[in-house]
Amino acid sequence: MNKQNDIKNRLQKELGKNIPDLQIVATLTDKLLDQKEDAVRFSVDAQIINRLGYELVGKQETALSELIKNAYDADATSVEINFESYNNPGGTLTIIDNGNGMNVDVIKQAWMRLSTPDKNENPISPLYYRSRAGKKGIGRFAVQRLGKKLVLRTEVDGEDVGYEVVFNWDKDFIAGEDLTNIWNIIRPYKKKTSSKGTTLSILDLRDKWTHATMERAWKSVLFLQPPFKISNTPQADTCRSSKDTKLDPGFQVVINGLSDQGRLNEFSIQKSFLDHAIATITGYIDEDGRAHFSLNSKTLSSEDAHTSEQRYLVVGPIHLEVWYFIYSRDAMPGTSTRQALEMGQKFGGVRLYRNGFRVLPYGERLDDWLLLAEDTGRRNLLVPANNFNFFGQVEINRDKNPFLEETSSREGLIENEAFEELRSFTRQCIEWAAKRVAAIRDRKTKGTQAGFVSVVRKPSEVVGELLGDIDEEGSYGGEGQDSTLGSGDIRNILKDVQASAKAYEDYQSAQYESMARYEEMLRILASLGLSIAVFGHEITGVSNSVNKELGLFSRELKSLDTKLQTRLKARKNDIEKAINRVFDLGNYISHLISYTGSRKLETVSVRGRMNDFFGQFNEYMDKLGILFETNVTPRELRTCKMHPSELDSVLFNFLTNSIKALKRANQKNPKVRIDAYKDSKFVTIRFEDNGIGVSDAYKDRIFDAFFTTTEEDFDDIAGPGTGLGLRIVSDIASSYGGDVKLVDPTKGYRCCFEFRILRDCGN
Amino acid sequence: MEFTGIYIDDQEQNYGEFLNVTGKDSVKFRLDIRPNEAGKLVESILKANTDIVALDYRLDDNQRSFPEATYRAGGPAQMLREEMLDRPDEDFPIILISTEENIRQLYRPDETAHNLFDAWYLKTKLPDETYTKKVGTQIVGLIKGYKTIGDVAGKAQKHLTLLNLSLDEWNELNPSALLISLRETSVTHVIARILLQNVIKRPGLLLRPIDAYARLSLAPENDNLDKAFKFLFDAGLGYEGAFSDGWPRLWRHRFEKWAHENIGDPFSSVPGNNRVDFFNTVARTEYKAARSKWSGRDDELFSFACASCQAPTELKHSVAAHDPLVPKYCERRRICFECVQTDAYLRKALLIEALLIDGEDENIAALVRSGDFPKE
Repeated sequence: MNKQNDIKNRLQKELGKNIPDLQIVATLTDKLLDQKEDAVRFSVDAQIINRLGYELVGKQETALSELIKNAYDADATSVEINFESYNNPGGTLTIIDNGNGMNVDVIKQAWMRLSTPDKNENPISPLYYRSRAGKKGIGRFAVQRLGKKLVLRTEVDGEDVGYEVVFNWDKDFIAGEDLTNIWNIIRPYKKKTSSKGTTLSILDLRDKWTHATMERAWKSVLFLQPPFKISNTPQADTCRSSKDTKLDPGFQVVINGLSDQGRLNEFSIQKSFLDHAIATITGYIDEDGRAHFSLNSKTLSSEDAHTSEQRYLVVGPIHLEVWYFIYSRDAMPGTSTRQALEMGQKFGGVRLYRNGFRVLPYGERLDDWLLLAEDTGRRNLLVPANNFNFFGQVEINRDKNPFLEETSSREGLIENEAFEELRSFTRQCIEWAAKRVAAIRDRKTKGTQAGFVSVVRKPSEVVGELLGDIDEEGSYGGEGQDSTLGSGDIRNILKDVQASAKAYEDYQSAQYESMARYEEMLRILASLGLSIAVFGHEITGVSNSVNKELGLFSRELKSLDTKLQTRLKARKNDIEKAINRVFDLGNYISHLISYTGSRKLETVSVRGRMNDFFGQFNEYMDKLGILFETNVTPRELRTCKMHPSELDSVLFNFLTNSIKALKRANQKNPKVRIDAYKDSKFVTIRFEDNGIGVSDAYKDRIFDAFFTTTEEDFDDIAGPGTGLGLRIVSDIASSYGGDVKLVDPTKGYRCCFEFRILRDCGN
Repeated sequence: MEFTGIYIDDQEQNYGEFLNVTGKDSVKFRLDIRPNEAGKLVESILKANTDIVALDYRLDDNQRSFPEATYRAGGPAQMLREEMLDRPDEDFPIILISTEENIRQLYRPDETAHNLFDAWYLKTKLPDETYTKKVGTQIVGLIKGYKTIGDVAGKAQKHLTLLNLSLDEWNELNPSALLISLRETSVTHVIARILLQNVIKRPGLLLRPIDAYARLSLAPENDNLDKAFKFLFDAGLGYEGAFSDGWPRLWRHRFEKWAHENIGDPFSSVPGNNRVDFFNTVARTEYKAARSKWSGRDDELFSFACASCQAPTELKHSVAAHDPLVPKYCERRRICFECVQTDAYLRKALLIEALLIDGEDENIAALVRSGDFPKE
C-alpha cells in the first residue's frame, strides 16, 4: 500500500507541474496499474522487437520482401531500393516508396502498435483499392532484422510537414526494459505539399549483401508481385462507383545497387519475369464475329496465327492478352521453376476487366471459369494448361459487349449466351496456343492424339531436374504440377519419379513392340526377297530355254517353204511377245539381285541411276503407251552414301504405283515424270503421274505397312499390292536423313510423291 | 572350206546348233560327244580331229546322266592345251559357251583361267540371230587363224606372215615387244592368245570399227556405220592377217596416214564436225557428227572410243583406266567424264572385265563426280 501511495504521490507531483514529463507520467501510471491486487496483465519486454525482427525473420531477402509489401499496401507505385557499401556489414539500405505515407496518428496507431489490426480492418488500400498483402501487423520489424538503426521519414500528400523517427534498435530496445517505456522522438520537418511516401533508411546493416544474397533478394522481389504491369486492373466491383477511384498504374520495384566494381545492377520485375514466358498469346473477336488467335514465342523462335472456324455473333468484340508459362527447366531456363510456380499459383489466371476494372472472381486462384484446371486434372488436356500457367486478361467493354451483364451481387457476369461465347473464345484461344506450343515442343496435346510419338525423358533427367528444384528446405515444384510445400514433398517427388519411370518404361515397351512389328515386317520382306530371288533365277532359266527353243525353231523355219515360214514366224512372234514381258521382269530382278549382293555403302549418281532405270523400263512403258520422262539437275547430283539398290527400289515402287494408278484412271494420255534436283542438303526426287491420284481417305495411311488398295489388281511388272512399297520407300528415306510425302502435283499431273534423302556434300 | 567342231554340254546339248556356220566357210558342230570322265572326254575330242571345241562352263551339273563329269570347262581345256604344246599344226581353238554369271565366276577368282579359252560367248544370247552371226564369223576366224599360225610354225619372219604385213611396214611400226613375245614361243594357242588379246581385241596396232568411227567423229546413232568401215577397208587400210576373218580391223598407221591425206594434217587437230564433213565428201556418205557426251559440242577433238560406253571421246574429257599390263604397242583404255560422273563405268565392271579408273587420274575423277571440274 505504501508503495502504491508513493507512486500516486509521484504521479500527482509530476502532473502538478506546468509541463509534466509525459514519459514519467506513463511510467508511473503503468507502475500504479501493476499494483492492482485482484487482477494481472501482460507486459512487454523491449527485446520483443528483436524477437519479431532478427529472430523471426531468418533471411535478409525475406525481410526486404516484407518492407516492399508494406509499400504496395500503402498504394505506392514504385519502390526504389538502394544499397550502399553493402559488401561488408555496416552498410546502408534505403527503401523509398511513393505511397500514401503516414501522419502522426497513423505513426502512433499503426506503425508504433504491434500486431495492429489496421490491415485486417482495411483490407483494401484507400487509393488504388489494392488487396493488401500484409495482415499480421508485424512485417515492419523486418527493418530490425536488416540493420541496427532505422531512420523513418514519411510524408503525406497535402501536408506541409513530414515526420522523421529514429529507431536505435540495439541500443534502446534492450532486454529488461518495458517496451512501452522506450520512447522515440517524432521530428517534424518541412516538405513540399505535393510530396508523399515513406523512406526507410536502414543503417549499420547487420550482414553483408553478397552477389548470391542480392540474387535471392531479387527473386524474392520478383515473385512478390504479379509479373506484369497491371495497367487497367485491380478494382473491386464494389468500388467501381467511387468517384475517387483511380486506375492502378502498377507497382514497380527497382533494386539499384552499386557493386565493388562500380557496376550498376538494375532489375525490373516485368522485364525479367515476363521474359521467361514461353509464349505470349493474343486474341480478338472482330466486328464480324471472327476470332483471331496469335502466338509469339521467342524461346521457341516461333510465331503462329489462326482464325477460328467458329463465329462469335453475340458477345461482340473482345481482346485478350495472356503470357503463357511452363514451369520446367527447359522452358524457363535461368530462373527457379519452383519459385516461378509459386508465382503462378499465387497470381496466375486469366482475369476479366470491364472498362478497365477488374470483374471478380474470374482469374482468382480458386476460380476455374475456363475449366482449365478441370480438363488438365482429368487429362482431357495433356499440355500444361492449368490456370497457373497463364497470366493475362480479357478486356470487355460495356458499350461494345452489352449482353455481358453483371449479376446483382456484383460477383461475376450472368451466364448467358454472350458469356458462353466469351468463355468459349477465351478457352479456344489459349488452348489453341498451348497446343501449338506443345506441338512445337513435341508434346502430346490430346489423350487421343493418333500417331504421336512422345519425347519421353529419361528418369535420370527427371530426377536431376527435381533435385535442382528442391531447395534447402526440401520443397519443390514442377511443370504443370501442384507444389505442396512441407512434409508431403518427398512423397510428391517420389510420385514424380515413379511417373517418369513408368512413362519411360511404357515408352520402351512401345518401342520394343514397334521394333518387333518392324522385325516381323522385315522377316516377311526377307522371305519375300528370297522367293523373288528364286523366282528371278527360275525365270531367267526358263527364259533362256524358251529363247533357245525359239531360236532353234527359227533356224528350222529356214528349211520350209516361204508361205509356211511366214505363218510360223508370225506365230513365233506372238509367243515371244507374250512371254517377253515376264522375262523383262525376271531380268530386272536378276539385275537387282546382282546389285543387292553388295552391302557396300556408296554415293550414288542420281543421273546414272535414273538413266539405268529409264533404260530398263522405257521400252516397257512405251508398250503401255505411257509417256515417261526424267530430268536431273544438276547433272552431278549424288546421294549420300547408301545402298545403290535402295534407290532402284524407291523408283521401282513409285513406278509400279503409278502404273496401277494410270490403269485405274483409264487415262488416255498417261504420263509419268521423275524430276530429281538439289534441294539444300537434300536430293529431292519428285515422282508424278496423271493417274487416279490418292484419295483423301487414304492420305494418312499410305505409308503404313501392309496398307494397300490394290490386292486384286495385277500387272506384269507392277504386280499385286503388298502394302509394303511406300513403307519401304519411307524407311529408306528415313535411313538416309530424309522423308517422303505426298505433295501437290504440278499442272497436268494428279499425284506427286516427293522423296528426299541427304545428298553427297563431299564430306 | 568345211570345218568341224565339237560342242560339249551336260544338259541342253542343242545349244550347239547355234554354233553351226553355213556359207563359203562352214562349220558343223558335233553334239554327240557328251561329258565323261575327263581323260576319256579329252581322248574322244582328240580322236575326233576337230577344228574347234566349244565347252559349256558347268559340265558337272547333270550328275544323274554324267556322274563321271566332276569338272568344269577349265579342266578338259587345260588337258587339251597341254596335249597340243608340241603339236602346233594340230592345235585348235577352244571357246567357252556359258551364262554371264558362270563366266564371271570363271574369270574373277582365277585370272589365268581365261587364258585357256580363245573366246567366250553368252549362251543366253545365242538364240539372237545377230549375235549368232557374229559368233559364227568369229568361230571361222578362230579356226582359220589357228591354221595360219600352225602353218607358219617354226618359219622365219613368221610375224610378217601372221600379220600379213610387209617388212617395210613392220619396220615402220617396229612393235619390238610383240616380236619378242612371238619369237619366245612356237605353241599355236599361245601365239593365238598374244594376237587375240594384244593385237585383235584392243586398239593399238589395229583399230576396231568403233575406234575408227570415234576417230572420224561419226555419231554412234548413225545407221550403216559398217559402210564407213568397208570404205576404209577397201581403201587399203584393212588388216588381213590371222583372225581377220573373225574380227574386222584396220591398221592404225594406215588409217592415220589416210586421214592426214584426206581429212586434214595434222588430223588430230581437225574438229570432229569437220572430220565428218570431209569423210562424207570423200566416202559420199551422209553421216552425222558425234557430240561430246560431256560438252555437248560436235567440234571436239575426238580421239578414241570410251572404254565404258564406246562413244567418241575427247582426251581432255576423259580419265585413264587402270590398265597395268598394257604392252607398249597397245593404246591405254580411257573412260569418258560422263561415264565417270554417272558411275556407268562401275556398272560395266559387273560384266566380264573390270573397269577401274587409274589411280593417277582419280583426283580428276573426283572433281568430275562432284561437279567441280572446271567448266570451259
